[in-house]
Amino acid sequence: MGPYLLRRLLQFVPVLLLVSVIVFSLSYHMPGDPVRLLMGQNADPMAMEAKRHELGLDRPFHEQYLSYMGKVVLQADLGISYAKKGKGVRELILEKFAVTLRLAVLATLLSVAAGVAAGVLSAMRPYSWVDYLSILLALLGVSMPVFFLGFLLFAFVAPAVGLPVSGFEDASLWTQFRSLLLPALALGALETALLARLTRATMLETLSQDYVRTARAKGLGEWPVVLKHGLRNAAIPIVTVVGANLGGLLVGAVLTESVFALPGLGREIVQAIAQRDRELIAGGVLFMAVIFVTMNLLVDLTYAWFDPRVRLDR
Amino acid sequence: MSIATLDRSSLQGAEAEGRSPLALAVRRLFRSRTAVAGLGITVVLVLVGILAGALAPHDYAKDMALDALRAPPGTPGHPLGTDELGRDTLSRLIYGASLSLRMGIGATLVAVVIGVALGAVSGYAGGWPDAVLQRITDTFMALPTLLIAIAVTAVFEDPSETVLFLVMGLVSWPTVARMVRGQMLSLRENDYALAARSLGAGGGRILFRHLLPNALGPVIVLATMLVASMILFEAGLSFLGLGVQPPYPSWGRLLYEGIKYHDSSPWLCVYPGACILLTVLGLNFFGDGLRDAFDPRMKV
Amino acid sequence: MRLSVGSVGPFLLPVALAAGALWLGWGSGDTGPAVFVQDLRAEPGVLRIGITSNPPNLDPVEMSDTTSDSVVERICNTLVSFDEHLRLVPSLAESIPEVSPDGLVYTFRLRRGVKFQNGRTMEAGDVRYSLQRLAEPISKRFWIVEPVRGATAARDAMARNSRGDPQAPIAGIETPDPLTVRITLEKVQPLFPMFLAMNNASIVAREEVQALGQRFGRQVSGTGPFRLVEWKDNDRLVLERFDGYFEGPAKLRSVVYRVITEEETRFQSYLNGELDVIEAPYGNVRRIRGSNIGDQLRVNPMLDIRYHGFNMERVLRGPGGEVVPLGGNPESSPGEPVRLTGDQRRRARLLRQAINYAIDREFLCTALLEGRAVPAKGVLPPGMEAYDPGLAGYRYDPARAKALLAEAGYPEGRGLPEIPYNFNFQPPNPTVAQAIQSMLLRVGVRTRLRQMDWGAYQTYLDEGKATFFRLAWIADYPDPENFLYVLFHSKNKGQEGNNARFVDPENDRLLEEARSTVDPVERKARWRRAEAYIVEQAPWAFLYHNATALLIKPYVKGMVLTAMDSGAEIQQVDLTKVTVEAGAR
Repeated sequence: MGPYLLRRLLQFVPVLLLVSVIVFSLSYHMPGDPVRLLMGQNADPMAMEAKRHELGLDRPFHEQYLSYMGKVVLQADLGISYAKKGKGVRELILEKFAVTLRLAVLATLLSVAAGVAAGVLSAMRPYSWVDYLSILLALLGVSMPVFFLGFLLFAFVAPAVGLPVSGFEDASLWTQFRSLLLPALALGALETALLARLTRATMLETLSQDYVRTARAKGLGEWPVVLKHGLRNAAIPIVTVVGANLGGLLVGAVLTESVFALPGLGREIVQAIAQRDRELIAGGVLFMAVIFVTMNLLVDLTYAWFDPRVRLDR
Repeated sequence: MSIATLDRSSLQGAEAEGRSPLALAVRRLFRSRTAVAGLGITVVLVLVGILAGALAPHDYAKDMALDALRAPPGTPGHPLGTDELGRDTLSRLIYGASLSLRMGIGATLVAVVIGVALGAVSGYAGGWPDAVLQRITDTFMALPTLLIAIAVTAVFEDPSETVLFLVMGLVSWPTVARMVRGQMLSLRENDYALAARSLGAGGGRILFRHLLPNALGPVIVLATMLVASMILFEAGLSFLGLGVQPPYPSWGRLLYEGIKYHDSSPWLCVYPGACILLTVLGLNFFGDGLRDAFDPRMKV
Repeated sequence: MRLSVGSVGPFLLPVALAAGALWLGWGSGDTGPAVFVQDLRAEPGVLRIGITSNPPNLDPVEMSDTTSDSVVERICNTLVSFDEHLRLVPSLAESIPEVSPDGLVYTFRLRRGVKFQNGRTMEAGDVRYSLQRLAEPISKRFWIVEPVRGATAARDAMARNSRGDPQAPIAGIETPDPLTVRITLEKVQPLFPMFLAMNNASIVAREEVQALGQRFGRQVSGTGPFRLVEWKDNDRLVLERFDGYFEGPAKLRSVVYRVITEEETRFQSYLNGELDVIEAPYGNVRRIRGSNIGDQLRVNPMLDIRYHGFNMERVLRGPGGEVVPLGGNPESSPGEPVRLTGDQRRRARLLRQAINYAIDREFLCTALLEGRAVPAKGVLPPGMEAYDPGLAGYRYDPARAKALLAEAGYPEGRGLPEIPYNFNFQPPNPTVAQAIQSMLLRVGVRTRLRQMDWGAYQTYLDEGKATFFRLAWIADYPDPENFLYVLFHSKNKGQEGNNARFVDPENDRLLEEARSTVDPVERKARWRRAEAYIVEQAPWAFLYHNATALLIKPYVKGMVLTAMDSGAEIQQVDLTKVTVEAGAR
C-alpha cells in the first residue's frame, strides 16, 4: 500500500498545479474591475492606478499567479473578496463547505442504503411488482433534472411530512438532518438508481453461482449466503459507482442547494460568478477541485485495499 | 436493464466463422426489447428534431395567440395548450427536440473527439505521453463541470448556442478519454495487434486500422449516454438562467418556467418534463442495448 | 411469465409514461378557487422576510438597490424621514429644520441623548462626518449633498486619495454646537430636506467606520431600532432589537431576512410556515386572490416607473458596417469614438420613438402582470406631484411605428442590425422581454435577448455595456425631481441614476430651470415641460407603473405599506410598530 499511496500522492501534485492555472486564468479573465469595486467609479483615475499597483493587479499574469499560489500553498491564504468588502475567502469557503459536505455525505449514505436495499429486494423477487416499481423509480431518478426532483419534494413531500422547505439551521443534529433530508434525497437520486441496478444485477449473478446452489441443495437458507457473497462482490462496484459519481455529486449539489436555498459552497460559487467575485471564484473552485482529487484518492485507496491487483496498475 | 446475456466466447466463435462482429452486434441488438424500445425513441427524437420546422404547426416564438393565453390542451389549434404568451406548447416542444438534439449531439461530439484523440494516444503510446495525458485528464476531471461551464459563459458575457455546447463538451471529455485509454490498453496486446506488429505494420497504422475501430463500440455506447446527460446538463444550466437564451425553447427551460404554474396550468411543466424523461430513458435504453450487443461484459 | 412481461415491459414503459404524462398535464385551465395547504405557525416576536437576493453592500453611501436600503433602514436613522403618508417628519432632528429667508441655510437641532448601537451618544460631528461621506469617491449618491456649498470641491479633493481619512470637509456643513448642524447651500433647493431623508444619508458613528474601514459595509451600525447581529451571505441577515433606541424599543424582538432566490421555493416556504412576508409569486396573483389565502394578499400601488432604457452612447453597426445610431448623444462612448451628425441623431430618435409605438402596454399590464400595473405615458407615476394625465405618450400603434421606422431609413427593419436586449432573469422579466421582442419583431425590429443575474446585470449596466435594457425606478422621495432630474440629467450619467446615459443640453436646461423654481405652480408647469421634452426625445421605452403585491401572514399586525415600498423589502414600513404573535397551525 505504501508505494501505491506514494505514487498516487505524487500524481496529485501536477494535477493540482494544472487545476490552479486553469482556475486562476478563469478568474483573471472575469469581466469586472476589483479596484472599481473598492474605490468607486468616481475615484480619480490616478488614485485608482495607484491602488491597482498597490494591490499588484497591474502585474503580468504569471507574476500574479505565482504570488497567489505562493500565499495559497504556504499560508493557506486564499485572499479576500473585494466584492464582499474584504471578507476572507477561506473563512467563507469553510463556512459554506460545512453545509455542502453534510449534504453530500448524507446523500451518499442515503443512496447507498436505499440503493442496495432496493437492489436486494428486487433481486429477491425479480420481475415482480416490487421489482418493476423500483426499476421505475430508478429510471425516474436517472432521467429527471435534479431541480425538478427537488421541486417535487419540497412542494409535495415537505408539507406532508412536516419538513422544512428551505434553509439550513445549524442547530442540533436532528434539526440539521431535517433540513438536509429532502435535498439529500434529490441529490442522491441518480446514485440510488445506479446502485439499485448494480446491486440487483450483482445479486442475481451471485444467485446463479455454484456455492449458492450448493447451499440450496444442502437445505440451508440461500439468502444468508447470497447476501454475504453478493454484498462482498458488490462492494467494489459500489465503490466504483460512488467514486465515479463524486463529480456528479458536486455538480448536483450546486443545483440542489439553489432549489432548497441551502447556504452551501456550490450555490455560493454560482453567486460569486454572477457577482464577478474573482477571488471567491478562484478560491472556491480550487477548493472544490482539491476536495474532489482527495476524495478520488480515498476511493482509489479503498479500491486498492479491497483488490490488491489494483496496486500494480499504472 | 437488458435481459440478454451472452459471453465473449460465442462472439469469438462467430468471428472464426467469418461473420463480421458488426452484423452480430446488430442481430443481438434487435433481440433485446429494451434496446429496440430505446432505439425507437431515439429515432423519433432525431426525426422530430430534424423535421421540426415542417412538423410544428406554429413558430416557437413569433406566433402568440394573444386571445388564448395559457389555453388548456385540447383547445382548437393547440392540442397541447399554450403558454403565458399564447405560444403553442406542441410547437415549442418540437423545436425543443431540435434544440436538445443539436446541443446534445454537438456537446457529445466535442467531448468524443477530444476524448478519443487524447485517450487513444495515451493508451497506445504509453510511457511519458501517457503519464502527461493522464495528468491532464485528471485535471479536467477535477474541475467541477457545472461551475466551470458557468464561469466560462460568464467570461464570454454573451454565450451563443455554439459556445454553450463547446463548453459542455470541453468539461465532459475526461470520461471518454479514460474509457478509450482503457480500451487501448487491453486491445493493444491482443492477437490482431501482435500479429500486425510482427508483420511489420507501423504504430499509426495499427492504431487507426485495427485498434480504433474495435474501440469504437464502447465509445458509441458512451456517446449515447452522454447525449442524454448533456440534455440534463443543459436543463441544469437553464435553471441557473445560463442555458440557451430565451426565446429558444429548450426543454429544460420550459420545464423550469412551467413550474410556477404547476397547479393552474400543469401542462406547462409536465409535458416538457415528460419529453426530457422519455428522451433520456430512451437514450439510456438504447445505450444499454448497444452495450450488450457489442459485448455484454463491457465495462462502461 | 419471465418472457412475456419482460418482452412487453420495455415497450410498455415509455408508452405508459407518455400516457401518464399526457393525463397529468391535461388540466382544464382554471378549476375553481384554489386551495393552498398552509401552515400558520409563527415565531412570536420575529418577523421573517423572504427576499430574492443578497444585498451587495450595506454601507449607506454605497447603496443603490432596494434590498440594502431596506436593511439599512432598520439599522440606521436619518435627520428626517417620511411617515406613512410620505410627509416629512423629524427623526434624529428634533423638528423640521429652520430655513433662512433666502432659502440657503438649513439649521437642524438634534435630539438629545440619541445613542448609537455601540453606546455612544450621537452629536453634530457625526452628522457632519456622515454627510461628508457622500462626497467620497465610493459614494453612489453624491447628488444628495451636491447642493451644499463646497461639496464639489470636497469631492474633487477626496477623489485624489484612496478611500478613508483624511476626509475633506465640506465647507457648507457647520456644527456650531454639539446639537446643532447648519448647512448652507450653494443654490436654493427646496427639496434638500427630502434628500436627507434618504437612507444613503444615514448618520453613522465615525469611529465605527474608521475601525472597520471597508468592512463597514459588512458590519454596519447606527442609531436605529435594530442592530445587525449576523450576516450569512446568500442565506440570511439577522437583526435584533436595540433596546437603547431613542424612540423606545421596537415591539419585535428580531427581524430576519432570508435570501431565497427561487420564487417557487420562497412561496412554498411561506406556505410551510417558514416565512411571514414575501412578494406574491408572479403569474399567480389572480389565483391567490380567489383562493383561501386571498386575505393575505396586499396589493399596493407604488411611485415607480418600469422602463427599457436605450444606451444613448451606443452606436450599432449595420450589415455593411455602417453606423446605425441608437442613442442621440453628440458623442458616443469612449470605446467607439463616433461623432453623430444632426441627421443621424434625428434618425436615432425616430427609431426609438418607433420602438415606443410598437409596444402594447395594455397587454403587458392586463395579461402578463394580471392587472397590477398601469401603462405609463411618461416618466412620472400617478399620485406623484406634477403627474400629467393629459400627456399623450406613446399609444400602441404598430402602423405608426412602421412609418417612423421607414422615415428613419429602415423600411420594414431593413438595414437595422439585431439589437442586443438585456435584462436580469428574475420573474417576470423574461416573459415581458419575450413579449416585447415579439412586438418589436412585428414591426421589423429584431432583438437578441440576453439575460443575466441581477448582480452581474447591475455591474454590466454601470459599466455602460448594455444596449437596450430593462430597469425600474422607485421614488426615494415623493417629488418629480427624484425621477426627472436624477434619471435624466447628464451630471447623473451612469450609476447615479441616469442609466440611459442621456446627454442633452436642452434637457439639462429644462431640468435645471424646473429644479430651481420655488413657486409651486410654476415649478409644476416646468416639470411637465421637462417631462414632455424627455418623452419626445425617447431615451427610454416608457412601459408601466407597477403595484407591489405582497403576501403577509394574518398574525403580522401593524404593517402599514406606503407608495415607496417595493416588494418584500418593505423599505419604508416602520417595523417598530409591527408585532408577530403566535399563529394557529
